[in-house]
Amino acid sequence: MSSKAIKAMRWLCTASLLLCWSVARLLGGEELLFPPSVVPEVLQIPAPEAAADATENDSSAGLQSEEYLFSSTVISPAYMPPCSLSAISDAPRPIDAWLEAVPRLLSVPNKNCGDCLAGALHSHRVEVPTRLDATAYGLHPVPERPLLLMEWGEEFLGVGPLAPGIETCSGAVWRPAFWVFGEYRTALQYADYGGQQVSEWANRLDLFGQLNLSGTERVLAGLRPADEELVDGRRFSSLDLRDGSSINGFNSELQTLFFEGDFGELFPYLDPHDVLRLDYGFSVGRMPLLAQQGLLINEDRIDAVTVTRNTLFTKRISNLRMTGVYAWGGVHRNSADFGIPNTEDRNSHLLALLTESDFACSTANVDVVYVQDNTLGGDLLAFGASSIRRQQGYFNTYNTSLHVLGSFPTNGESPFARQGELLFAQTSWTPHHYDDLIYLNAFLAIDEFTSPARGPLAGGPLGQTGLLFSAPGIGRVGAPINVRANDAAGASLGYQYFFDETRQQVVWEFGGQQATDGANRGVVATGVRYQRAVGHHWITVVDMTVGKRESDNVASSLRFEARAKF
Amino acid sequence: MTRCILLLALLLRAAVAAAEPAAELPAPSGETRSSCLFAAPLASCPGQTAESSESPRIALGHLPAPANPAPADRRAVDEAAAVSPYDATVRAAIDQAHADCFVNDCFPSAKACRNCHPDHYQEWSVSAHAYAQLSPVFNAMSSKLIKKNNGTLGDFCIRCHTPVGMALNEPIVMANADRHPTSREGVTCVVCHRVNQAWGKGAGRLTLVAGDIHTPVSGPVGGKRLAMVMAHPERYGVLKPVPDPATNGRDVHGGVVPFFQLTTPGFCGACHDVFAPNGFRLEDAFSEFKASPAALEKHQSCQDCHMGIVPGVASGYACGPAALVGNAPTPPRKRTNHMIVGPDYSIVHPGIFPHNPAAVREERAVFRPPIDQGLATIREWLLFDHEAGWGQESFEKHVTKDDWFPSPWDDQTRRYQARDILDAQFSLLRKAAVNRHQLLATGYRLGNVVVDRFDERGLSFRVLVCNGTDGHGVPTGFDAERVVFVRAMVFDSAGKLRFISGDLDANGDLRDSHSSYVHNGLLPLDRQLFSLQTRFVTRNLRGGEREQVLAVPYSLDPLPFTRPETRPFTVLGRPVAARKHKQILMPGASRWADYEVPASKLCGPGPYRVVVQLIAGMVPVNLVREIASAGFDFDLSAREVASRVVAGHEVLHEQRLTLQTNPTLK
Repeated sequence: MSSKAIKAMRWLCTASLLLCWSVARLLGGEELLFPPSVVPEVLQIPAPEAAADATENDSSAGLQSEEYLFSSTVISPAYMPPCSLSAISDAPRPIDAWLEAVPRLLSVPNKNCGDCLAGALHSHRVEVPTRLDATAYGLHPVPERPLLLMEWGEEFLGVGPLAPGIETCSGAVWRPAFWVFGEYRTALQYADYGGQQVSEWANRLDLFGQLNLSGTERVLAGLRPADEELVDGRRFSSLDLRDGSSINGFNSELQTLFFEGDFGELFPYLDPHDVLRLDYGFSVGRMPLLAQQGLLINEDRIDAVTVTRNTLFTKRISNLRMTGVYAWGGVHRNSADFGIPNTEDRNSHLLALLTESDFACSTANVDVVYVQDNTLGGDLLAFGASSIRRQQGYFNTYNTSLHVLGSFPTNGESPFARQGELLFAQTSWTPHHYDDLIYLNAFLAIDEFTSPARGPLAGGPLGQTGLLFSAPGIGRVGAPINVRANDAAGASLGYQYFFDETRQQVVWEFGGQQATDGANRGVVATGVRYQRAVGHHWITVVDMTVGKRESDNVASSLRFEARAKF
Repeated sequence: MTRCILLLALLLRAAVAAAEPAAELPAPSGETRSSCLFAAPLASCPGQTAESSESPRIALGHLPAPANPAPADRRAVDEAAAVSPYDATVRAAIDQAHADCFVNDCFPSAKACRNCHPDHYQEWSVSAHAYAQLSPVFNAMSSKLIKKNNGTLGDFCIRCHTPVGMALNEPIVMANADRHPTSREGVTCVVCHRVNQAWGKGAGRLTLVAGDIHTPVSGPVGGKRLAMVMAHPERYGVLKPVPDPATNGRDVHGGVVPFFQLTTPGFCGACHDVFAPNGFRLEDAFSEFKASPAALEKHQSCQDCHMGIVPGVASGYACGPAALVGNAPTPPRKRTNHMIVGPDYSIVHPGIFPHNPAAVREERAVFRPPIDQGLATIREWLLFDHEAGWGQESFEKHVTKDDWFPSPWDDQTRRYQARDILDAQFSLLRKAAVNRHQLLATGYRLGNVVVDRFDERGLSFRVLVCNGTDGHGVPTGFDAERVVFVRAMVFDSAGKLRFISGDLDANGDLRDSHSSYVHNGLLPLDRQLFSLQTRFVTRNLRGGEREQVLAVPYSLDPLPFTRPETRPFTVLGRPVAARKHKQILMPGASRWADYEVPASKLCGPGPYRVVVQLIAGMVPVNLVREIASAGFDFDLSAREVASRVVAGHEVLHEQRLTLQTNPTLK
């Protein structure tokens, strides 16, 4: 790139930042209490004679900044000397305000819009008080423990005496209990995809029964009796509101059934003194599987055996978890091609190594997956690597995650095994004074990235981009921006407001995607979600979206959903 | 009978609530599941009756007014002491239930054990185990988490903190002053010595063997010495191992059942490897230990360092009598230290903690032992202003007739007695503090200050922080709420502070992203802060993950609900929605704390003095802020709790360096 171009880009960036800053100021964005130029007037450096020795004296004389900094008199023996804002590390510089101009601009709707919404909802925003309360209020009551659908034996996290355990021949002590729990979802939803309309009342029930044996051993069985799995999707028990026809998705198929335990806890006699590392976690059976936050694997039913080693460490890694997975009996294969749903491939086998490591400043996930199949899908090698960390600006902390994924067919390409790469970035932050969340996500799909295993409802790997990119998971209503990781780039900007101690939430989002191969697959959309907890079991959700496809008419959807947890 | 009283209490409550809608009793719909303080299970030992019933929680958390009120406030204090008809009825119900329990004496208090094991008792009385249930921070955090999880978290937290209270079916939220004395003792004697099965990693859900003082206890080696003591009544006096009214003698446990697992790390791991049913790994101290050189290479145990002679060092065990029976010591043997030192310290009134039978008198007659030596009830102790010097000669000589003291402290003799007790309490607390310092100072190492640059561009220096133990990471256990940080300071020759990192805001918080001053834009982030605190990270609806003080993923779900994880939690090692980002130092690990001081800050007269401290605290103040809405026991405000937490910060290591003024500097 020529020096002229670089110079032009610099000017452009500077101008953009200047514009953002100015707009933020004009729109009444939050003012910092101590912009750098004001610091000397607000807080003065203590007089030299009053500045005591760091460890020997204990005086707050001369402390001018007690409004902001802890009074040193109460700190003993860890003494903190009187200090001023000019002494604290990293005092903000003028340029810092410029560097964070864009986030500040995006934070502008925080106060006014949030207050308007709070008024409309007759609720209180979740605010963060600055100073601790000096009033004692006594103990407050807590909600009653919501009962499970069924509890046999020991109550699930219930108070009361515990029964003696049963000692197995291996030395493990079990106290069996059986709990039934789950979630019921019912939705009235309407969607208009530029002429094609869906109007339905759909239902979904996730029902689980757990035979709990000990703290580490359990057997979990799960059913989805109201929606039936098909080869390339799921059929929900629903009623078509336009023609009155009903769809029967009732079934009794086992969706989940696995045993999970810890080898060392299962056979304690092998290591009575706890000096061997036998604490291998393992699971075997039919289970869901997730990797890279669902970008790499998002399978809801897979027959597999897993072995996990946790709490590994090195001098730099505080915590390393490694899991080996082998799945037999088929996985659902994902295709980068439009129009091809995630399809069950009964002949495929999956082998995966999933790792997660905590470093001092970040968490890294590195996952490798190989799918072997000689018939439908073809062999596929895929990997995912991510770094999740919080970046500290001068005025905010930014949550960031960067994912890099790739897929490589090892035995010739097929619709379910394509070569491609996916870059996925997420950023979010919480504006001052509130607990709200602003997020900005973006992706770039190069060629045709293919996820090795995705459930029939999981769609493509880009659902994490935004609410507009993901289907609700019930009925026939899809995502407003239905995008595959196929030569495309996209982004979403969202704002999540919290009210009534987070029990009421409003999410606004704007997003879009554009094909990078010249095809006219561009979509822009916006949407609002309102969700509210009702009592101790129910959640109500209202979704409204509208979008425009480059090659199609305006699409819109309206949903009302009620969820019951038990 | 208990049920009748319960019904009566409920009816009366309804009547009172109808007459006084503003009463401070909680609404029935939003309350803790009842517990058998009213109902059947307390009427007998756990296991004998397991029936439970639903009824409202009792609101007994109202504590007296602050100490030494002005005369104008006397009426308020007196009114606070008055008991409404409703409270009287409820308390009668509780008393009856507790009385039933005492008849059977399901879980004897540590005070009963103290009769023959005074040294063990004293060590334990000031330990973190003894403090577990009294901790206002713990209780508020538990309540807040339950509330955030819509009640679904149940007894997950408190089951470890008061296994006896949970076995007695006490409410989760309840003032400690109203709890059963043994419940208030937290991890008391019977919590370890009435366990007879190797439960493994069960997040504290151990079954306690119920029974009175004569029930056999579990011991590491069995009952040979007990048998020997029993065989020599001429030396040890007549002992009564069975409940026999016809026999006069000292009540003792009827036997010692050998329970080898008491000496193993796995026993500690039953509570110190905490994972929720949804797979969230809250604490993994035991897992860290199992992967450590101390376990794998040296074959050491938790007890070696935490119950030995020198805290934090596997230095062997003391040798001494296990009991003092009838003033006669038993033959010496391996003697473990039951202080079991850890990083926690007390922030409650010194009259209440350490546990001391001479200090606390039970408020309810039903709780009182036959000979109650206690000077005052918990609520009365809260009125004793020890910081003002009550009971000290220097204070008392200035007291006049007009000075007002709340009852029972209006009696000067009583104030002197209280001061004597407090002096002993402070002495014990100091002993514990010394042990804690020893433990923590051993667990962390601080290297020398290394100056990389000191020129016209400013000062650049660093210091190495190392894990000093090979048994687990530091901090460990509840590492997401442990504050261990470096405070780096640069002073000029006039003593003026020119640079600081690791300072505290007005609340007492480090200036990290959880400080409310930082969050609200009133102070900048301490970007050079070196902290070893692990972070709770929760998944956002979109936008990745963010740090939260409490690991409740409400961005994903307006109704967080704790249920068993529906996918194998071993695969990810955590639930999808929340995790810990461990930032601790594992065994053998070290990390540099780097600091850059710009030249603009070094404008004072030299030479400069660099002071670097490694500081450890119990919990961050932002946790206090986050849980404050749940309310603190012992009538503490959030600010008081924070001040006391910060007052416990201690410097583990310090390094100093003097830098001659660089002539190139202005």
